[in-house]
Amino acid sequence: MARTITEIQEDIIGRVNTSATLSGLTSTSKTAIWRMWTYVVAVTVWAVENLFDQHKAEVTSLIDERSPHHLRWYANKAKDFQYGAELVQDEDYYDNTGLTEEQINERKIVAFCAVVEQTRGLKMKVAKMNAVDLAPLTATELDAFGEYMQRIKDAGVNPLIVESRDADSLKLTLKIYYNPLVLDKDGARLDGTDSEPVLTCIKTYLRNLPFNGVFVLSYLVDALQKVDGVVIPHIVQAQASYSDVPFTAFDVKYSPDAGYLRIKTPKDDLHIEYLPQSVII
Amino acid sequence: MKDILFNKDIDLDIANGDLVAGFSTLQHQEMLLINNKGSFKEFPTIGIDAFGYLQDNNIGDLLRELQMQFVGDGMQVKSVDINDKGELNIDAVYGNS
Repeated sequence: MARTITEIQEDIIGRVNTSATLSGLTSTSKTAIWRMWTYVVAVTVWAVENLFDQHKAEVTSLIDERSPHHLRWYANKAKDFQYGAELVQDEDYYDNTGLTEEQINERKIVAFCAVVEQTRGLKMKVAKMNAVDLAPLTATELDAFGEYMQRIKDAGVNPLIVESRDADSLKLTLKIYYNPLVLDKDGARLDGTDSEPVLTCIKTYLRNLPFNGVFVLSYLVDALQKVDGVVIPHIVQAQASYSDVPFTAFDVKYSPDAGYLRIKTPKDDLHIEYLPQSVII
Repeated sequence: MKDILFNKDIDLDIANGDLVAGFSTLQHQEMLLINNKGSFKEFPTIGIDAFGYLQDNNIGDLLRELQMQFVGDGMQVKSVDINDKGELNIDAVYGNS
């Protein structure tokens, strides 16, 4: 961004004042020659900076028009989607004149997007944020978003599948060897600050996974290891399911179909056997 | 108060291949007197244009304008008048000189 003439001139005057050879120039008169020169130079610099701004804008728009669209472009465009707004005619952006930053952000509902290349076409997985967690787009929102992507996508990208699914379900069977000085036989902290520290840890871990990231069991073990009172976390079995597909077990890692996975009903999906174990040295 | 100085032709004074800097109060006063408004693009309202008052019957206008402009430029004006010979006498210094 170009600086103002005053900013540039102040910068020059500051440098003159600190220069050993020029600091003798102390006149504050409006007719002082050295000050006029700083003004003249400041105006030229200002003009050049403005020209550079224009140049940059011009080049950026050229690049925008020319650059081939990669997967990231689709993801960025998905996040630019504004629910309830019409695109500028024949363009791939919105006319936001008169809207505040807040209003625009309110319209942008897609919080996460992953784009996967397929044998034919592309698949986009999207999710929005509700108060605390990720959530799928509603049917109406997804229709609008699908239409938006169809209008702006590159020619030939066919099919462009747009999905926003409910989280994949995760079922875990664990054996937790716990320190009886910290936890009780149901896994609650003896000091009463947390009744389910293990569940809290798993939930936090799942929430912090990157969107469309891979869920790795041994990383979860690492996270559980850090829970105070857990001596040995052992995963006996891990199962996952998406949409109507029945639960299937997996050994090492799992890529969630919806892009994220959750333990939906801890009562049914999380089986933990707590076994007392003194600290191993 | 120092500035780069002009020679008597109001051109840059150059000695030993370098610009001459020195006390500049008189030079500022002269510049204010002979230039008219708009000459200084950074401050378009400064300039007295003393020559513009040559045909003027009332010298009070010139003195008032002069006083205003000098004060506006940061000077303390002790006295300013025109004697019988038509010479302009000014006693004014910059506050920080």
